[in-house]
Amino acid sequence: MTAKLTDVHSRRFKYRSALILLAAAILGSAVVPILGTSYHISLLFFLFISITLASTYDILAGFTGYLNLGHVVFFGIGAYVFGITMQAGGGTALALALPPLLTVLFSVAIAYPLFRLRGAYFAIATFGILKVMEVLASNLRDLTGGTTGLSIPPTSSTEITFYMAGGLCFAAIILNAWIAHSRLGLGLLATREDEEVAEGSGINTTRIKIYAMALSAILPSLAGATYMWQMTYIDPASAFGSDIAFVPVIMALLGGSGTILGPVIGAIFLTVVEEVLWSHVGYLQLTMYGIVLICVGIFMPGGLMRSSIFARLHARIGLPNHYGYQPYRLFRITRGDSNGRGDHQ
Amino acid sequence: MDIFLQILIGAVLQGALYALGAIGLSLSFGVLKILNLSHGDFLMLGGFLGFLALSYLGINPFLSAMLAALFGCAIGWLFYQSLISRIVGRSFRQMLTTSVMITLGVSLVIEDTTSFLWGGGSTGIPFQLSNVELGGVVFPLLRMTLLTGTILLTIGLHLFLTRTYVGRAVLASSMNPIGAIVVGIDIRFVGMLTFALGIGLAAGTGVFYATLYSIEPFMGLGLTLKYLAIIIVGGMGSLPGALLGGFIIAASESYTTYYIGAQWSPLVAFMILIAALLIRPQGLLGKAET
Repeated sequence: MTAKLTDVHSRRFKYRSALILLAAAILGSAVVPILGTSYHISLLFFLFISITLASTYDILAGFTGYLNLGHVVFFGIGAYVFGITMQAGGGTALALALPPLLTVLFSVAIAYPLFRLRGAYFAIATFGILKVMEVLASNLRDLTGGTTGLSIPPTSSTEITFYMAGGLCFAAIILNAWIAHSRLGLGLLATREDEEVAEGSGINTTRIKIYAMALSAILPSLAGATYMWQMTYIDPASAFGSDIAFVPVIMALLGGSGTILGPVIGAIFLTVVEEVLWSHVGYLQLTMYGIVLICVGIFMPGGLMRSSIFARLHARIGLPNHYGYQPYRLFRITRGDSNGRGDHQ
Repeated sequence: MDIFLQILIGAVLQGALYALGAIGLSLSFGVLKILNLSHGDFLMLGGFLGFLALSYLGINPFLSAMLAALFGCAIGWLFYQSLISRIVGRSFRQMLTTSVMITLGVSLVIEDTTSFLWGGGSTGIPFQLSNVELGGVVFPLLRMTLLTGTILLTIGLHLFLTRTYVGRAVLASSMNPIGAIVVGIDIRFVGMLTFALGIGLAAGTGVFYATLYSIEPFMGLGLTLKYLAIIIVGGMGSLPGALLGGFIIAASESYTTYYIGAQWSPLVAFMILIAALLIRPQGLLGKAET
């Protein structure tokens, strides 16, 4: 298994176009605050936050197949910790340093017992954790302001938060790509395919799953802090609500869970659809949202990235083969990757 | 002591109602291994149907519960044929992700369309029966009737599952799908039947639910989660387990509401859910999966 890693590094030139694409995206978004209107800025800000959440959600779901339905808990904690620290007069530096620290501790604490569960049970339990946090946020009034929410004095720094959100978004994509080519990612993929076999080949599956969960917790907490800084207000429903909770999950599944660009495409697609619906239809948006979900679930179970149109486009611009399973082709070895990195079915 | 007993009686009634809604979810999860996040929405739909039946046609809730159950079975059959049957038989991981997508999509469609047509407010079925007082403890007659109905239904369901050929086929498929195929059970038919029955039960329960409490369009997902808690506590696919789980959750909620505060009662179900998953994942009355 480990011998294949050198193989990946020698084919680094294959990722040139991916790097060019990434650089173009970074440059493009960097000029938005200069050229765009405030509408563009806020639209892109929310897109960045969504991509961060969806991409980091997919670290656990895409690599290990564990559906963490409570992923936004990290976002919510980040937002609340930032808000509470600011209110207590801790200063911005401390308020930005605390959320990742606390969420990593929190994620390790919940990961230890949660990873005794598998499949649907894990998904239900993580959603339960989210609901527990929601109730706590509404009831611990002295700390969180209860259901009325928590607000901090507004700052005039929309540009800082915009660049922070952008940085987080690209960091999430790069983190995903890095894991995909690391020893950790290999272990996680092996765990996804067959946990017993992975354990048998010397992988400490519990430990690497906890690593993955902790890694997936850092960026969302910072995204939460950035969101709080920008919006200056948070309440339990917008931090831990059920409808918020499913957004990153839906985005990742829609784009293609288990691919680096899948969550990104899913986030962009859903944001655009939502914008069009909000501005043109005005009612029954959730219904259409639901219909999109059902259609993707039925017709494109692997997500947009694995549908034939996107796969061809993907190959055309020379992006690396997405790792992960092929719907309906579980026994096929991925083209051009006959050494079978990650596809050892 | 009186108030303790009073709460206990209330909890038994509420637990029975919880169990009735949860049984369908438990069966369909057991047979199809599909996580149906839209289960609670069908309960809400049934409740609305009962409300409409009483306020426009003057139909008694006990009758409209049966109508709602039939309606639910039909909808469940349609739901299964059009959507679920397409994802049954995919690999385990894919089935999990696609079932989340599809059932969540259905849940969103139902909730949003209902709130669009209805207006989003909460409502209940205005139907009352007088209360009976016995030795200082008040027995709400309406709830007692519903409790009797629930127990009879559960016994009937239990007999159906253990005494009839089809029922045993359902149990067999939930225990071991491959073994069921080997002995000649048409597990696609069994899956469809279980799914339709489960949704029918949920819709029928919805009428009772709306009679006792209130319903609103966006209640479905929270309810589904509570039902999942109940069947996990009691044991997947076990009828007595669902009753026990329903009672445990209802009792802890009622006592929390009375002794600690109403705002903490939503926490109870989730704490019990997580604790049950961690301490005894197969449930109190469930058998460990091999």
